[in-house]
Amino acid sequence: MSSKMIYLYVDDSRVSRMKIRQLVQQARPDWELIEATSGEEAIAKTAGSCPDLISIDINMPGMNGMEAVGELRKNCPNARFVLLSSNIQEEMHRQARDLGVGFVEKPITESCIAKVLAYFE
Amino acid sequence: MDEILLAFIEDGNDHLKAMESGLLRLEEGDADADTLNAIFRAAHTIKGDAGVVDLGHIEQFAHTLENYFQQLRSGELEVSRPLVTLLLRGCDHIKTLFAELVEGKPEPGKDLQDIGASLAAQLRSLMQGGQGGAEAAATHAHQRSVDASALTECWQIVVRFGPDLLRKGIDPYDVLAYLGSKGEIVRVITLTDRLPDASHMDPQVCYLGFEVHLRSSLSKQEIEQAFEIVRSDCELQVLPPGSQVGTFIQSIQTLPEESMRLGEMLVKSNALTSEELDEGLELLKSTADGAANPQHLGEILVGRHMVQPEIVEAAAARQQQVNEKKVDEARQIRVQAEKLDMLVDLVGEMVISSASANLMAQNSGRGDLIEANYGLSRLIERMRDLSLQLRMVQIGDTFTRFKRVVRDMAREMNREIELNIRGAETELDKSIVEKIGDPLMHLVRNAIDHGIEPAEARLASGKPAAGQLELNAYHETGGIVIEVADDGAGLDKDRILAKAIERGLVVEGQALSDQEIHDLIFVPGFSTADKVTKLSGRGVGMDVVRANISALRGSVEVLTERGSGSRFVIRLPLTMAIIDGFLVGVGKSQYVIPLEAVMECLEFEEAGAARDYINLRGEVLPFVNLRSLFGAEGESPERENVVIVRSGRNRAGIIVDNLLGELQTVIKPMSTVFRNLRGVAGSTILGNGEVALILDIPALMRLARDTEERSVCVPGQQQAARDHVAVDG
Repeated sequence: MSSKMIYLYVDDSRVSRMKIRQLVQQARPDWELIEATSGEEAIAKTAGSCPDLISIDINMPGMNGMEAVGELRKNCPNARFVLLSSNIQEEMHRQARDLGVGFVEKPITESCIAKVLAYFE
Repeated sequence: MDEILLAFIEDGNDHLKAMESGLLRLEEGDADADTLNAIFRAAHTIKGDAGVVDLGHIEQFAHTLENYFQQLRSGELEVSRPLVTLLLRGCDHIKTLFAELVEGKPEPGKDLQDIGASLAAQLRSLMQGGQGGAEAAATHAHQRSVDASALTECWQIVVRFGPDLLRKGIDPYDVLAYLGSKGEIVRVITLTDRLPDASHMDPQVCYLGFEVHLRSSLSKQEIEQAFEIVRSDCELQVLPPGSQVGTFIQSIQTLPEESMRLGEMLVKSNALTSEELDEGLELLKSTADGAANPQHLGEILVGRHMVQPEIVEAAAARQQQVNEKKVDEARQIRVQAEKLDMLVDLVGEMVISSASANLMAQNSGRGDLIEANYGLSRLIERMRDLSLQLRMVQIGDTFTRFKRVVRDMAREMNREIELNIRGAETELDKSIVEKIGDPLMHLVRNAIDHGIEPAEARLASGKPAAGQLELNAYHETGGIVIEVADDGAGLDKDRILAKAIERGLVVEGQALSDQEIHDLIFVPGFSTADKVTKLSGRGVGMDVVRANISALRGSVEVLTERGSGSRFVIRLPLTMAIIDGFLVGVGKSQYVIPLEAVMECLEFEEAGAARDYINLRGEVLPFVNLRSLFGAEGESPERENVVIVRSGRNRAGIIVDNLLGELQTVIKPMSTVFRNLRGVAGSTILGNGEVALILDIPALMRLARDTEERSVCVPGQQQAARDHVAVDG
């Protein structure tokens, strides 16, 4: 993997975003981090430059994570996606698989982020 | 503090605000899908964030709330006042947990954990009760078929719990759970129509009722037994299985007293499904268009054979009845009891202030001031009487409740009993009426269970087969008397005495008058019933009855004649708030004797004192010396006085230093620290600002009687007498 990765994380919770930033900065200090609070904002932010990695919370106001993945794919066909959710029903896993994206269970903890990073790399 | 944690609390509080306002909108009924989503999301985010900052307890609690919001969102749950109330309390709980975090306590204390657990439990039990309601709504479309096949085979039980249930430590859920042991509960609907606004809701008051469909082969009595512990505190209606017309009419007649449309009433009483109603309304609309003489809904429904004409008539009659009652109620104003209490309280303070102003006026010696004060205190007195009257209620309602109790008990015991109620219009203070129900219930049960004999025995002794039970109330010298009388077997003196000796309450050979023997039934630890029946013998004896009545500053005594019946006479003050008293002085202290107890005052003759009794015109009376009882400082004055007091039919003397005259005063209850103090009923503040204790005359009389017994007993028996004193509290 090239050293300068761009990672976009989408989550409506400020606490989750802060935690993601904290943990990823610790683990991958050289990554460039971009954050978005909603699917809509993420789409706007990826219009110009494309991140390599995108993680998205499923349950968000407005566009949900699944829908956002569909839209973001159009902007960033080469990015790797991970869906994050505390809803761990089999159905969610299946949908994530169908979309061809990773699925990691929330809440955002060190091990959760480790799984996200493992999926990315 | 960690910045993430800080963000968690800041955002969390925002989420809580959203949750709260959403819930309030939900309760008002103008919540759309967005509101429900917002509430759900708020809980969801708090849960997620709590997980991020590793606060498991908040995560877990938010998760509980989230689950309910999810079910509300999906329509699995119906919005109800109690549910919203609990969820709002859930918000408050999280808020408290946040506050703890701010104070730097990551782990909640035990008490907070308990609150959380109790909220979760309450939600759970509400859901178990309410789930049926939600299901019922969901399956409304099939209700007729459910009705026809399942529900008509069920007992329909409607129970409305009394407001004091929770305070008495009874959980309605337990009652329903116990009911479940009597058969299979097919459906439960929570009746929430009595729930007030959240702002008027008292968490200690039970507002709920339940409608239960129970499949059971037991008899009506056996089913009603499930409610025995709450019987006096609930309105219970048990309708037999089968959808007979009579059943519907009965349930229409007992619908809540609120204005309802005819169709609504029919649906509520299960006589009509909501689909049928819609159909009927549709027809009504189509026929009304253009028709010169439009049909009524009832006619249409009957015409379509959806409902029997009798039922429609019953519903229409009920509608009219409710409307009439509404008009009647409009002429009166409903006032919160609390406001009245505050008013009486203030008037009480005024009485005290007025007494103090009077005293100053007297001391000043200024005629015009004395006169002005006199006028003022007269007005205050009138105001006091009027304000107390506002709180007066008739005892009739309390009496009428017993009709059902007597009927049910008589059935159960296979006895015929006629209940005669007299003096139902007698008024007394609301606070007393509320508390007299339990003792009365006990006396009534006792009279039926132990007093009134079976029909054969009655006929054999020349009495009519039907036992007579009488509840009577009347006024008597500044108080009220309530009597519970039966024409049964009367108390068995010999058996009481034998039992009392067996229990060690009296010593064999001790000389006791009939009245004293009869009085033994009020002594703690005494119960004459050879077998404890489930009706009256439940470990609660007559001693509790006496204690309850004493707590109301009242007294109870029994008049009985072997073979012709017993009469329990309860004497109660008219009000608990204000007392007409007689002020006496002992040493530096002053005491108030309730005026209605005072019979006369005399000079105390030292001669009789040695033998602990006084001679009142040839009559021997026990006495209590307040100076020695309260350990007053200083020597007794040369001349002492004795106040002759009475309680019921007993009399005794109270020795005091000086007599200070009548006064009207406000009773301040004693702090709970003094709960076990005997002989003192309360305290009051005198015009000069000093505190005076109000004497509890019945308790003092018992003390006097015990003292007398001690001195009369032979030495070997003294211990027994003292034991008697020790338990007699």
